[in-house]
Amino acid sequence: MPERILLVEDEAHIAQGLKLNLESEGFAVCIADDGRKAIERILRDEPDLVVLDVELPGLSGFEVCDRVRHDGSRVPILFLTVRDSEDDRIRGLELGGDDYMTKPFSVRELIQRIRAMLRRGSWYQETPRHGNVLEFGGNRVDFRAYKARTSDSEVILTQKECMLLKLLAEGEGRVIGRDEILDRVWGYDRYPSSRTIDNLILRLRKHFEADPKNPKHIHTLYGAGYRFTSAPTPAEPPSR
Amino acid sequence: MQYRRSFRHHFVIFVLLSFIALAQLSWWVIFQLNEGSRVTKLQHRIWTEQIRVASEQAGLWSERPRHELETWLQRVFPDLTLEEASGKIIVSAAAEKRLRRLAGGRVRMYVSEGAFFIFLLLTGIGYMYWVLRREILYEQQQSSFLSATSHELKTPITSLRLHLDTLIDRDLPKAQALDVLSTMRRDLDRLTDQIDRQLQAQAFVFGKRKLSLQPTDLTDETQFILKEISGRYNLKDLQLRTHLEPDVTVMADPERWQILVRNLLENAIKYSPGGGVLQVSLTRAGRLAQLHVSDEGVGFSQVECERIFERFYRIESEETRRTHGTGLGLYLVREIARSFGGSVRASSEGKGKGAAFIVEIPLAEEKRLA
Repeated sequence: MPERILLVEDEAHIAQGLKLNLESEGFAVCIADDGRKAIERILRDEPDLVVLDVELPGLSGFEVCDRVRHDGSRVPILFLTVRDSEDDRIRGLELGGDDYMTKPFSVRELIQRIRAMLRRGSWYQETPRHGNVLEFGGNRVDFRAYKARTSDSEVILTQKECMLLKLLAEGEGRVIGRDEILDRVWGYDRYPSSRTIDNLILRLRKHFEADPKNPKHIHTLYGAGYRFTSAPTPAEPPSR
Repeated sequence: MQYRRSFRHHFVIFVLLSFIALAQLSWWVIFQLNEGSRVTKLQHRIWTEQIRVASEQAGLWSERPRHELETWLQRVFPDLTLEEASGKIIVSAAAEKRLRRLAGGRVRMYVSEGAFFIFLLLTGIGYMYWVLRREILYEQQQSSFLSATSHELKTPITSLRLHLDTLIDRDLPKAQALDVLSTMRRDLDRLTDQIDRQLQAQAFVFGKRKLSLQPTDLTDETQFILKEISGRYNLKDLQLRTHLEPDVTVMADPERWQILVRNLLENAIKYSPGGGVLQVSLTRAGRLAQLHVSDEGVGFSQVECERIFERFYRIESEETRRTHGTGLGLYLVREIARSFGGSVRASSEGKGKGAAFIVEIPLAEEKRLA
């Protein structure tokens, strides 16, 4: 069954041109030409991926993304817009977008990004060897529900937090380098800086470590990457 | 959003500075009034002391004639005098009156100066607020314009590139390839239009375009644009009704008149997504040629009525707009009408209730007589 892409684009010429190209690549494409229709389609049809313009009649692409994320949709969203400022890119990603491309664009690059996003999505959907539930140090993480129960509370995890934790847990005991994280979690577009990974690791420690400053499960190996252990182990001595 | 934040930031600083300036002024007025009261009290203390010294002298001179004491008092303590009935030394009525006048004068001076300062300060504050607001609005419009221009230029370029890539990468059947090519031609037209409009606006802003007014038959020129527009746009939902009086001649530049009419018509078409009646009439009204363009489209509010002719002004937000444009079309209409010695005005019953534009240009005969 072909993967279904929802194309949210109000410029008819661009929408038709993209549809033609994506269908030639074997995708099934639907078009929504304004923000409200886009929300309705995303929530009702649950497409495999959304290509979302920002400047849309009535409701902007940013608002669409914000609302569908708020309603619990995890569909991969690729922003495709003429807005090319850093502020707009950051806003798009912060609101839950998974990738951001500016117009004019190369069709081949767009198709590769779409394929990479779908690949990451299917990797994430695969059941890891420990199942979809990970238990460690009094924490219980449900990768499918994006939820975790820690010793004192219940936490709703973001998609990126879940993907990173799943990647670390899959390679338990092994050092996972930054490049691998960028590749598996962010994929084709290496937009985020190393600082973004650090922040994500800090957030995971804050959720799951009893003392985030002395982590027992998510360790940093300076210059090499990160290592996860489900049984508590003392922090690694700094190494250069 | 960013501008709202920036305006709030400037406004807080501005209010703070105004508050400090007003507080400073109030403190100055209070200080001066207190100082006045202190001077009055001091004068009374001096008089009391003078009365004590003069009374001691009067005791020593009790045997001397009264006029000697009076002469001495006038020479040494001119503010004091001998009370007629009791013979006691008191402050003269004239000195008391002078002191009251001085104190009153000071209060009047401080109050009038204070009021003047407050007036100056408030005028300054008002002016600064007006300048700040204008600056921010202009900045906001410019940014919207940049964003709109970027959208208006990049969209056809994106479409052109997309279709070019498609033609290169895909092996399309001939009919489909021709469709793609015709889409590309429409994108190219859109891009050309946009660039033309930008250049026309720039020519007005920098006054580089030489104006050569000549007797122009507006009927012919308007008819020409009406034909062009009908051929170019798909007016299936719009019912076009025209009434053009023959031989309406004004002193104008025919090319500019065409731009004016084209912009008004495109504006009406753009803002009539639901169709309706588009009426265009050209008539003589007294000494004026009057072009009337009205639609049954989205309309605008009373507040927007004046602003729609401002350069870069757009009714919609750039993120959620339903129409193309950069906020130059109606600006050009106004500037062109003015360059012919005429004017333009807009009216609307409100949002969703259509809009009407009336352009008035003095007729050629009237101009020559004048």
